[in-house]
Amino acid sequence: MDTLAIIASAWADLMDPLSFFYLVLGVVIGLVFGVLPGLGGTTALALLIPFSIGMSASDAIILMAGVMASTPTSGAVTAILLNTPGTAPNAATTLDGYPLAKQGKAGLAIGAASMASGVGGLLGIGFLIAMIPITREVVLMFGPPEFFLLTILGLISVSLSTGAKFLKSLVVGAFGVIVSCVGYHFVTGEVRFSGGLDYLWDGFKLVPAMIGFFAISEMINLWAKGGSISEGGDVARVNLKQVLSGCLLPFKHWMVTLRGSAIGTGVGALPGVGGTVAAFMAYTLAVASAKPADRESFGQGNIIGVIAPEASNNAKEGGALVPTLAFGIPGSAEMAVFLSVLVLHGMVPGPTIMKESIDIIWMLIIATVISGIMASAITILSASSMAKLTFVDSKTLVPIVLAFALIGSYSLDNEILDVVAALGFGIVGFIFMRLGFPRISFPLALVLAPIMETSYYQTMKIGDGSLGILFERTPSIIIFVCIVGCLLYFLKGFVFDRQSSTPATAKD
Amino acid sequence: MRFLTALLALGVAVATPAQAAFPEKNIEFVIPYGPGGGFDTLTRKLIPYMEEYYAKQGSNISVVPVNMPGASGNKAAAYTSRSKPDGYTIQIFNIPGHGLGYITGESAGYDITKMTWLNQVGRDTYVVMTAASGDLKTFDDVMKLGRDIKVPEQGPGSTSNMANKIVWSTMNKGAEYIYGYKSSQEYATAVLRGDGDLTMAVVGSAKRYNKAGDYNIIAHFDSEVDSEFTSAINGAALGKPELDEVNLLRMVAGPPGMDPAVAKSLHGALEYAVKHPDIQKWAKDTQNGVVSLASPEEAGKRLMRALDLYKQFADIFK
Repeated sequence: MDTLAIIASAWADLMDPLSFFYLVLGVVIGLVFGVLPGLGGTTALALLIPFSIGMSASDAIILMAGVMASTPTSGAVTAILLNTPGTAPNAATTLDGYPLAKQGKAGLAIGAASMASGVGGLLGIGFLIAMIPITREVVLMFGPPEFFLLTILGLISVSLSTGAKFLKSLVVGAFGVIVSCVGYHFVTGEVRFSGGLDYLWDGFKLVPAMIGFFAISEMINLWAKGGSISEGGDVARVNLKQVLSGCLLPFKHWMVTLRGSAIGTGVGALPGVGGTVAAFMAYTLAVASAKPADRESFGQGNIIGVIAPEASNNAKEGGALVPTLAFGIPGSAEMAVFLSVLVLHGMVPGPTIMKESIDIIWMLIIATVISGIMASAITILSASSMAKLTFVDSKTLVPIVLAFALIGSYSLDNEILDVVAALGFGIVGFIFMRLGFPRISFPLALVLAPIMETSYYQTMKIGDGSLGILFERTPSIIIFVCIVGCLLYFLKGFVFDRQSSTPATAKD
Repeated sequence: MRFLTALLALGVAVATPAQAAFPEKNIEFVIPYGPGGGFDTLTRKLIPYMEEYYAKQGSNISVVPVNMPGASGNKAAAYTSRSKPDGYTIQIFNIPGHGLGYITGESAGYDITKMTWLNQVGRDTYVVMTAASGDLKTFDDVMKLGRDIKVPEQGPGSTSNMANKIVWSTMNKGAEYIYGYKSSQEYATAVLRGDGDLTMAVVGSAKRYNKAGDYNIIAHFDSEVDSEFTSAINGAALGKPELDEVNLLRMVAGPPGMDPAVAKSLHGALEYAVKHPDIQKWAKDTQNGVVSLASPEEAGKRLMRALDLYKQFADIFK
């Protein structure tokens, strides 16, 4: 069967009423799980596994595709409205999304984020299709030396994205690195910094840490401050018109959307590193390529700071499918669960899947495309209602969000200590916030530090104790050049800013 | 006398339905790892057929999978061992992984030998894989390599790492382990990329990874070498038949002190599931090794045989 016939057959199967129902169901479940703090695509997929067993392979994959394509879209909503990334990759969206919400422009931000997500998702799938013939070669190009350098690039990206607060950002990043060191060490078998607590054997869990550091600290701050999240703007202006005007912005800034999507798909294809690094890289590059006069507005509510990471965030789904399908190596925790669904239904991810199950792959691609469009449309249509949350008084909003945050922490593993951890991180996050430290480098450090430690150890082992191996392989040399470029850019900006600010200071 | 007989009869009448009634409520089936791995997949595959078994007996209960990852599977095992031994909490175990505490004599928070063993549901043998594009085409090539071999691996205490350590220490070949790969698929890919020289994987996984012919399978530790592996050698041929006993077992147990009748009932449900034609077909299609033993007692004996084999190598695991 040629490709067109396979696509036509997959399309016909998808339009079967029952299959289409599963697709819509997946999208709705994904949107709900994405928007609630603590619950994400991984939890949703894991909960759906038992139900998927009785389904046909294609229906199970359609349901899962619906969830996977829609979760990141709604994850941005929490990032914009509550300064709480639904998942780690949504963290970069808070940088400009939340300031926009505070200005009463939440609808505009959600509209732009949803459209950027939709476009990014489509471009990511396009990338997956283009990659099908060469997946194997691409995945084999990236080993521990490349991952080690990518983690450095990621950490530099996030620090640069905080501009003048670069050093404070590094302090928060260092805190994240220390937190990530808690627990079982994969080489020595020792349990580090656990204080004898069994709970800390596997270290702090990402979700309670994120919920605490962002959602709870934000709510403590809001409670202390009083009023509502929105400090300006008029609730009457938060309407569909504002949302739709936001939807047009990813097209107006098409280069930002395209670049974010390209970074998302490329970096998203790398297992473990994935979406979080990609989103911050897209953000940093958006700042770097902006006109000097516009750079100051980043972090204050520049819509480009929402479009770039969101395009990247959804594009990574297509990228993450590449190693999952081609090697059975999941690109993310979510993909690990999806992998089990494939195996449960008798599919064998690996180099031959593109030949043996190409019909199912096309079904997955089409279902992901339709789900992405559907998720964006639903989010856009409901954005004006959701955005009104930012005008709700803190006395009403804080208890509700706190309840969701704590339930979200507990429901992960039905573990009460997760709630305690979330509260602890909430207090630490609040202190950082009050002292003016940007919290944004925390999730990236938490995600990347273990990868950095592992890949450094592996690089040294592979290279017989020498880091010379970093300069023996083309991909690692390219990443190294990017790191040097980033640092030079930062130094140039630093020197330039000092030179341009000196006369002003003298004048004062 | 008549009164005594009547009393006894009443006793029997009361006791019999209580025993026959198992299960009266849902059974919790603990999986000691997160969703997505081999243990999770096999357990979830077996569960519908366990439910079917009990439905045929008139008990419309559910068997509920509960993923309890943490502490390399020890968190779940400690939980199961402390649960009430009423048959409503059972767990799939990784042998030898869960037996590491017993093997090394270090505390793991539970005593694996005291659990109520119900059945074995899976058995996988190990193969040694090298990259087809490399120079190591046979086991002999590996032994003749003039340096220590580099082996990408998950981490110390993982089952494949235990198998590797037994094989290379038995063969007196120096091995340097590169830890930190998250799954067998990852470390198999690492071999392909050139991170290391070779690695070991269970036979089903190895066959899946090797569909495109990317690997040389140079050893298969089983009493008979799989016919697909034309250049492989086994432990017996190497003069080390004990290596053919180094397997990965997937076994199911409940808390210590379970009623033998309840254990027998659960053994029956597991046996029904494993022997179901759908499971047999799935196992064949996906290259998973599924087995069932004759009785709970046989399961207990099988466990001890495996643990005692590994105990001989206790020093290299410490």
